Parts: sequence; structure tokens; C-alpha cells
Amino acid sequence: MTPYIAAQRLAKTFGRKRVLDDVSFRVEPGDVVGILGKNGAGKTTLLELILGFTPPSSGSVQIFSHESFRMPGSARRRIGSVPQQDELLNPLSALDQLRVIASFYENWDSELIDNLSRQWEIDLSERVKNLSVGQRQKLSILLALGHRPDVLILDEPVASLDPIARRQFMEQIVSIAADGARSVIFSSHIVSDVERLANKIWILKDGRLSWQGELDVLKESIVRVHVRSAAPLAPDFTLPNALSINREECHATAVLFDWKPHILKDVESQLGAPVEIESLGLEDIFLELHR
Amino acid sequence: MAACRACRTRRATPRRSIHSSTTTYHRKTPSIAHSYWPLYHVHYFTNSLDSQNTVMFILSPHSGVPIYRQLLEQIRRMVASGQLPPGTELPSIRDLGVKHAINPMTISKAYAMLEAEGVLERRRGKPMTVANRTRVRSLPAKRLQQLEPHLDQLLLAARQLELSESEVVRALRQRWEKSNDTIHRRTAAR
Repeated sequence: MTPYIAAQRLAKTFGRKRVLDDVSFRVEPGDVVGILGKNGAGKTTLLELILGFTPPSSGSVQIFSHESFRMPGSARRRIGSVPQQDELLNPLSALDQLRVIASFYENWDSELIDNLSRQWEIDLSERVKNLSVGQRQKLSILLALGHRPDVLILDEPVASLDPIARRQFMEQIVSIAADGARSVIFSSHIVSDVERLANKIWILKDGRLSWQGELDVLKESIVRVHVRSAAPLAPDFTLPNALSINREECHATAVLFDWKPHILKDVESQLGAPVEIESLGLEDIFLELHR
Repeated sequence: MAACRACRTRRATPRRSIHSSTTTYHRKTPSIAHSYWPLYHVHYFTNSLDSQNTVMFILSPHSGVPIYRQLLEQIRRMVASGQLPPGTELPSIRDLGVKHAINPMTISKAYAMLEAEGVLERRRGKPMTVANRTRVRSLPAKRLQQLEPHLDQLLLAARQLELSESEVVRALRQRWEKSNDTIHRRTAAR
């Protein structure tokens, strides 16, 4: 299967500042990718490179087999995007704003948009400039969904939404993903949403992808272990593949990566002490990877 | 006279379940089948499990255990115990995904693994169904294996509470006998 998006050793510098470095990835049809990273980790820059808003400093990124920065209109029409700062037209009514965008597309799904604007309680008669931040965000999402894009790119789409609106948004993303032929890439600081929606996770740290892969694999490969020994542990006691370790006389807690169940027996026989395994949620994993 | 959906007891005065407006069941609290609904509430559905019944699984996305694994283990347990009899149709991937707001690929991964194991089967144009009992009825050792994570949890809690082995074993045996009584009473009442 040809991937929808592929990047090889992508890098971007602004002046002397290197914002992205050596980023490579693939996005296949049906993938929902969640991007996690601290503020300033390079999430927005990465999304803008994929969208072709700016050329890479080195490396390349293709979308639908076209160089992103030079993609033809036919490729662009298959993409929907929600920018971090909305680009709505303040003087228009919400309905007119929808009509303007709809007029760009032949395949605009007005039935879907009508249903969603009712379900999401967007007052279409209101002027855009009078809408609340949350309402503006909902409208921006609608604008990105109407032409049923094959690739949906969202930069913190739910930051201003209440829990109910977030849930409605998530249901919509799930139903897009259930088609199997469409992909979603989104960045978010709400780790619990990423945990529900994404099958793949990219963790950006200082402009590099410090971890990328399937969420299930991530959860199964990073664990916290608790060691209780009868005798005091050596001050330099450590465990294989430890991301971090805390020692207190007879007790040690460590977070290990590349965890495999068979390691448990090795460690236990080596120590002669029982070892307890604790699996970690995505939020804990994210924090551990940023220590 | 209505039958209790949880234990099939017939009673002259049925009560409404708190879990479903259409379900009748016969007492307010006691009995494991009634009070511990996460494990047993599938009783309510066994006769009419259709693609709309997406609430029978308890999925917590924020647990360290991947969602596909949670689903896999719950279905495996329910099938092994006969709570999901052969031929039962499972909810569609889309319905389950939208209902729980979780990635559909996670669900299809669990379904596919269970299909490979022979627990579920897929027929063209039909929902996933529980495969024939003869093929899925697993050996006690295999079923015991599924209990292991729960035993580990019990062990961990017992250690933290500084309980001795004999105390834990005694408590477990008492619980076991108590639940036996409930099951006997239930069978007698049928």
C-alpha cells in the first residue's frame, strides 16, 4: 500500500534555530496519528511542512506522492486542516462562512455539515466575530470536514472545547477512521484524547521524533518495575534499559523501555527478590520520556 | 410473571434494573449476579445480543493495558465461561468505536486475534459471531492462565496489606463457598 504521507530526514531551521531535525515517518490510509510534545517541540512546524505551507530546509515530505510544497490543487482538495489559530472571516455570518468554503469544492457534503452544526449547537445565523472561542473552533472543524478529505490535519483541535463537544468531535474522528481509507493527524496536549483516538503516536522532543510507533506497542514496551529486596541494594544498583531509577535501601523503582515479559524472570533470578510490574498510561509514559 | 434477566428466576414482582429501562430483575441488591454487574450484566443481553449492545464491555483507555488487550481478554473470558454462547453476534467495529470513542483499528485488532484463535468467526456480510462451542471450550489450564493477571493483583494487594498466605487463602475459600451457595440457590429456583 502506498502511504498517504511519507517524510525522509525532514529538517527545518528558522534563522539559526533548528526547529525540526531528522524526522522520518509514514502515514498509511486508516491511520490516526496523535502528536505529543511540549510547547515549542515543533508540532505546528511539522504539520505546516506536511501541508506544504513552507518548504523544508532539508529532507523531503510527500503527500499523495507529491512534494508537499509543490502539491497540485487536485492533491490539496483531498486534505482538510484545522490550524491552531482559526482563519475565519469575521464580518460574515457562520452560515455564509460555510457557504464560501463550500463553493470551493464540488463534493461538499451539505447533509453532513447540516447535521453536525445542529448536533454541535453552532448558531449559523450569528456573525463569526460574535462567536465564542469554542464555537469558532467547532466551525473551523466543520470547514475541514465538509469535503470529506482523505487526510485530515488538526493542530490542537479541541483546546477550547468543553468535554461534551470534545466527545462529539472524537465520535466524528472515529467514524472517519472507521472508513479505513482516510487518515487523521492531530496534535493535542489532552493526552487522554490521544489515547482514545490514535493508533500511532509521535512524540516530538526538541525537534526530533523521540518515539514513534503504535500506541499498543508503546504501552507494552514501557513499564514501571518495583523491586523489593531482603538485603539493602547496592548504591549503584541498576536495571537493563532503565529510563530512570529511584533507590531507597531495600526498595527500587525504575521505568524500563524495550520491556519483554521474559526479562522479568532474568531480573528476579539475578536479584533473588520479587519484582512487581506496573503498566503505564500514556500520560505517565510521556512524562517519563521527558525526564 | 416476568423472568429475572440476571438469573432467570421467575417472580411475581419484577423490578426495573438500574442499568436498562427495559430489563426486569428481581431484587434490589444481594447475590453476586445482581450486585457485581460488570461481570454478570451480560446475562441481560445473552438472548438478544445484537450490534446495538456496545455497552457490555468495560474499556478504560487510560489504563496501561492496551485497549485491544482489554477487549480481547473480556471477550475470551465471556466466551470461556459461556456468558457469550456460540452464535452470539458481536457489535460492529464502527458501533463499538463510536460508542466508546476509541480507535476502530484497536477493535479490529482484537477481533482479528480472536478470529485467529478460533474464538470468533466472521461470515461474509454478517457481524462477528462467537464460534462453535466445541472448538472454543478451552482446557482448565488455559482458562486458569487467563486468571493469572487477577491473581497477581490480588497478590500485590495482599502483600501491601501484609496479610499472610493462609489468611488470604482462607478468605478466598470463604468467598468461593458463599458464591457457590448463590449459584445453588439460583439453580434450585429455576
